[in-house]
Amino acid sequence: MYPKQIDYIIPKNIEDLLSMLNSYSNAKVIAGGQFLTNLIKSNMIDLDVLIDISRIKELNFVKLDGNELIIGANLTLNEISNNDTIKSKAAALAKAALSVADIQIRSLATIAGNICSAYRYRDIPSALLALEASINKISLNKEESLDAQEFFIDSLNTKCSYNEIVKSVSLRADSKRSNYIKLRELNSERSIVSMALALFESSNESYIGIGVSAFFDKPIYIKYIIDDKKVDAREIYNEMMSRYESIIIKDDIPLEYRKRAIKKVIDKLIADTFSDYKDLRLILNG
Amino acid sequence: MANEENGLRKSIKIVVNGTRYSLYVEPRMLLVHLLRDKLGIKSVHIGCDSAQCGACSVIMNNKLVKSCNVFAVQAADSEILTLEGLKDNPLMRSAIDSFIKSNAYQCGYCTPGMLNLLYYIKSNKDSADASLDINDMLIGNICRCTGYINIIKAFKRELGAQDGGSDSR
Amino acid sequence: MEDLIADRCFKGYIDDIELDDMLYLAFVRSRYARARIGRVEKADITSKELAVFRGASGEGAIESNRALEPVFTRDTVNYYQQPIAAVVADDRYAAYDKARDVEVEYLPLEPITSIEESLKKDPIHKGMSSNINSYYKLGAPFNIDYDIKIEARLYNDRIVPDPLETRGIVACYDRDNDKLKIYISTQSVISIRRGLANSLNIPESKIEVIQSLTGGGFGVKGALYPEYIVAAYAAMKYNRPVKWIETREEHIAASNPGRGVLADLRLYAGSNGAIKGLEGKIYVDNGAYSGTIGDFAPRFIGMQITGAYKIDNINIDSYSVFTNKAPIGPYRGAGRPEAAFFMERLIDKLADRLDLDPFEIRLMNMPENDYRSPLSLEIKSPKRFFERAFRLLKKEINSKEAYGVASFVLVSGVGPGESIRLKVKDKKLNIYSGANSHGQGHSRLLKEILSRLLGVSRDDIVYNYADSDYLDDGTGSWGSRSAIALYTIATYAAAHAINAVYKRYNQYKPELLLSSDIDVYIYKEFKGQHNSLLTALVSLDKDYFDKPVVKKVVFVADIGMPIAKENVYNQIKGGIMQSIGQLYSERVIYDNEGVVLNRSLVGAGVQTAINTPKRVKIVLISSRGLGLDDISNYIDSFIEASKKDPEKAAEELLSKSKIVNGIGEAPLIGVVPALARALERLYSKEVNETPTDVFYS
Repeated sequence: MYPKQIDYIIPKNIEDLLSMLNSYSNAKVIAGGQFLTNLIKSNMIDLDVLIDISRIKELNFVKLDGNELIIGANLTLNEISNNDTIKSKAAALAKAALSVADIQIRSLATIAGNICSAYRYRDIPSALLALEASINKISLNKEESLDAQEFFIDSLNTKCSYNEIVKSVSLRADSKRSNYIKLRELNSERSIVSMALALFESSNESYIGIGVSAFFDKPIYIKYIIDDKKVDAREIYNEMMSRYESIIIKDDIPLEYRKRAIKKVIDKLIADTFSDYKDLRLILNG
Repeated sequence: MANEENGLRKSIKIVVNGTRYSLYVEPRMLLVHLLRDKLGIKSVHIGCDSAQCGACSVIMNNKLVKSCNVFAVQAADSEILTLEGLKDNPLMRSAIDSFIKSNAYQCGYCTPGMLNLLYYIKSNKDSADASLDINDMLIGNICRCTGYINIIKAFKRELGAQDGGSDSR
Repeated sequence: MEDLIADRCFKGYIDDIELDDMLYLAFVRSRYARARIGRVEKADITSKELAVFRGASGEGAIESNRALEPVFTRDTVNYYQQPIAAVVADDRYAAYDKARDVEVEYLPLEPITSIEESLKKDPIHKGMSSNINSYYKLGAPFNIDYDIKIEARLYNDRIVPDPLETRGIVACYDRDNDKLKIYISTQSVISIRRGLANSLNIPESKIEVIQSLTGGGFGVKGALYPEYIVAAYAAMKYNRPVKWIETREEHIAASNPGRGVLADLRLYAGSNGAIKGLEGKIYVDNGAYSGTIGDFAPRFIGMQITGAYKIDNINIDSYSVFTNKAPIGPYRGAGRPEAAFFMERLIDKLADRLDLDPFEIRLMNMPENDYRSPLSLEIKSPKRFFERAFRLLKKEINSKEAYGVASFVLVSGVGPGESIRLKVKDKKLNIYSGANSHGQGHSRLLKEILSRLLGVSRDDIVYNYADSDYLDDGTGSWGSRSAIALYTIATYAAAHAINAVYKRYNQYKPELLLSSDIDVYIYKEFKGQHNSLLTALVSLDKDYFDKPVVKKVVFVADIGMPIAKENVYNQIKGGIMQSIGQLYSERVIYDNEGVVLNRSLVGAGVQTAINTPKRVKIVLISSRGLGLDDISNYIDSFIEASKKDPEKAAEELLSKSKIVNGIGEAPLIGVVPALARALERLYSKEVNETPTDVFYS
């Protein structure tokens, strides 16, 4: 409950922030702090300086640029779930944001904070993967854009290193529809499955991008190509298992239950999203 | 902004229930301790150490936040409202009435947090949070005495029935 | 709540007390579940200067000197986060900084972390021949004919009470008068005063204990703890007020959790379902020290195990065993839920084996008349209540849902006695009582009784939080006893108050009472058993993801005369959620080294609002006699009689009215087994433990 002494500084802008990160060896950036503050309170983290980035205006924006939606790192989960552009262009993300933790946490927790936190059961990665997001990082020397799949190394670690920060997240705004389901465990808001999908149609092909987090030991992505106007949920499940079954998270939830659960999630997500979709045939796991 | 002063302590300005304060705080001090220990605001309660119970919930810059999960320095230049400042607000008065009529409290320890949550929802009727089932609105607020049943009744009175089924004697 | 808002905006809990020159107390706690302690450096208070013991105190405690908990151990710690030393500082952050800097030399020893280990391994306490804290032989061996034998191993895991407000105390010392003034979040000021006096060897007259507004108790705030003794000592040592507020993590690891009981039982029956005998072993995970409810829990649980049934042959060996865990405490139910869980699970298994209806098998095994079990449990003609109650429950069954039913007895711990003081001051009638409220609404109950008996308006009655200076004796608020005790003593107190007014003014009028300075103190003993009957039905369905949904809970109670119905409903509703918690999630998780792994409320399994029941139906059945409204017809004669002989007047009125029955722990006793059974049927898998994980099967 009572943290040790720490120092606290506020950078004026991104440039200022990056030079601070390069000067302090034992610092952490804090924006919403909803994950970090708890770690500091329980003295589970060794830290000298808190660098408050929550007031950096350059990190707080939503921009629709053609078929790309760019979201600033500091946008809170509450803001994301209420933003009209995000709700219409990236519904999966708006819903994912609404499903995280509780109202109070979401008031302050930011999207960058959520995806960079070392919390195994994060929800936002599933939506970012389905919407083919890129994570835009910045360090003193360079700016870099990483595919979300590459960015998420496993359920705890990302490719955001100490002297870098996430500046924004870009995702596709041209999905025909997108959706999201979170299956909580029985007794808390902790996820058993966090799954998002997005339908993309072009003249060449139609496919559904599916992102899953909190289930495997790494947020994963499946691309399901729609052949013959049919969506077969069994194929989606089989694809996931054949590629990732060995890395299903091992915790207090039994493996068999997890596998049954994800089948149901796939079915429900497909049915909820597409049951009214023009002559698309759905085959469920049942 | 929090400025450098006296070693680690920072000077911050904060408005709480309409009153301006200028204070020196250590960066590690949590907002909940600033409110309770430095400003004597006792309706804000501490029920846990990991931001789960919500007994410390306050309105900060029109957002509902857990004051135990915010460093006081981060709240510099913010406007905070607690039950002391809200209790005469008509929306809050109505919430309090509903809590009394629904017997939605027993030991009272979680009640300020619950009332602030209800007030927040009522003040943001069109928000995504207000569209949630009442049970999901309450996830961030723990009560050990009431079993939530009468609290949900009070919420329904104020917000209109939102799933969750009925209650009868 | 009107007062809570208007007067003080929910101020008045222990941490709200701010005194000049106050010191904050923090504890250095053991990192190991079992270790020898060597050097302790940089602490402010250690066992070198404070070598006292935590005496037996609180609910169910009996004087047991087997292995009392030292306030600070001299040589061996026996549970994770046991206090080793204390520090003080001017602010709370500095106090915890200082605690972190204290150096402790540990020599870790191998801990005992389960009942099984406790029975096999060497004793953890020097000089003992085993880890058995107490043993009771209940009943006697029997040899009977039977057709069916049901064997089961049943277990209720340990649960942290986790009231939303943790423990806390502010201790002050008045050097001039050599008197301690203690503010504390508690269920019993008398228990604290007595305990501090015993532990510190101070006369009770030199200690005043004042209850602060208490944010829940659930059994954990009835007893005296080492931390309270240290706070009192520190106040005397430093001659400054000393405040200690427990953190949640400390509460989970170092307060006294409840449950933790294992039973290996065999039920013998005829082929028609008639139970003939029950035998087996019960083990209570006592934790590391004696002096708490663990000492007599084995007998208490055993005594109740027959529940509402007639079982003439009992043979139970009941033990309380030492483990390297925090000492066991009386978490809401305090042995009653365990007894009911064991019996109700057995009878459901018997019903399954014989394919009998759950209601029929229960009724068939209930005695026709008043019955005293071989282990001395007294029940009054249960069939009359249960036949009526079961008719109500059966109407509520939804054939599409999975349901479970439980029938049970509530043994209210009314003894040894209780006190009340009525003190008129500034035209208000002030109430003080040893049975002090911590959320149950005693204020409402007492105002209801006294306004009727005395003709005084509720607005002129002030319910005060207990202050031991106003009470010579008393017990506390636990054991489902408060309504019973308060109703009785309030009636006597009212009679005496009327008598006092009459003696002074030759007449009785409420206005005369309020304009006087009359001061009436009553203490009454309560002997014998005060048991009531209840039943619960829980109905479940699965959602799309196969998670259980509690569709309905129906609770029928023989409440006798409900005085403040809202209070009764509140207790039941809160208890329902704790029952769901006990089945779904609540337990203390120990690793192999005895370290407590839960660090948070949700981590300890406390339920959020996710799993609330969709519908709750509560039916209160009242027994014969006059209800509260009917009593109004007798007030005039009560007043007249009080003028002459208040004791007799009170006795007469009490004998006319319905008996008041307890309720507080009832939901935990009955809803847990009913829900266990419903889960069993929903998932077609046996539920023999709480918490269970059948929903993941």
